[in-house]
Amino acid sequence: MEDKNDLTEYGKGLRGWVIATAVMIGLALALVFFYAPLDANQGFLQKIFYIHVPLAIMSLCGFVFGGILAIGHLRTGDRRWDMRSYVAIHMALIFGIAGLLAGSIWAKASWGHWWVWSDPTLTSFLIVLLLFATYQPLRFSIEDPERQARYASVFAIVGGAFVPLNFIAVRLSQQYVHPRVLTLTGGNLPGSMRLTFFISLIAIVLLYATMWKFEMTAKETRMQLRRVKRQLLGDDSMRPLGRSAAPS
Amino acid sequence: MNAVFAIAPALPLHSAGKYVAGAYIVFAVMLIVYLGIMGVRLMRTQRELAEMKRQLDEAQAAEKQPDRDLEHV
Repeated sequence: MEDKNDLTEYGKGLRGWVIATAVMIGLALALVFFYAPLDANQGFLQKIFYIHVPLAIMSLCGFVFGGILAIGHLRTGDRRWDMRSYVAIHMALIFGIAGLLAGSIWAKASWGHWWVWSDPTLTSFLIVLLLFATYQPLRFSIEDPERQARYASVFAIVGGAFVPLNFIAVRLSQQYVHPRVLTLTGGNLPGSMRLTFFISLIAIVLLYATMWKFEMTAKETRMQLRRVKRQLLGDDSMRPLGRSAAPS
Repeated sequence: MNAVFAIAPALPLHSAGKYVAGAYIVFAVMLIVYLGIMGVRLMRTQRELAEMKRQLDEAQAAEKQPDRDLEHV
């Protein structure tokens, strides 16, 4: 049944998403701290794995998702696809920074250094993050909204395609400090740890989806408000939007 | 509650605990900052919406006023 209070397309079912996310995060935290056994080598420190890895995976998938949504914009010319792509990349950046910080804390505790430049996994992730950190300045540098959306979409597609290529290159590298615990053949995680990891991953994916929907709802509401304002007060009374990195 | 603590790993807060807490707190803080920013923006939008509603009501009331005056004539 539809909620009549939902004013926007993305607001539909948002409450359900929020509840599902909160439940999954609670379940994941309970499994991490009360169910998953202590790691034989790292002990309690390994608990960072359950937040660091899902955040990094979701961030990379978010960049690819942004690229896929940008294809929709270039194919149709509909600016709503650009908005979806923009929010997907914005969210992926937030998750990426959180994952990077969590990983850095883990590295300090485990390896004695906040950062190890010689590790390809760390450095490649930083390169991807820095690449997408230029997405917003690129948008801001282009004043014309149509051109801004088009150039940003091309950037998002190229950047999104770079992510899996980068991932494969890192996987093929032989010299690394980063442990490899997840592989296509199952990896070396015991069952209880694997279950905890996948529940944590689902929780982070749900959080990403909910935050994406939430931001889309907020943006759509602001656009609707602006449209109503224009209808009611006329174009002359509207303050100019000015240059912005966000789609308008 | 005691049963829950019995199966939970002991929290070694003297060494690894602070790093684990740090990693989770960083994530929680980022989430709270994001929700805070979005909340402030949402409040601003709601304020603007309330202002628009007030202006709309005033405009509708002003439109009805001449009709009522005509009825009296």
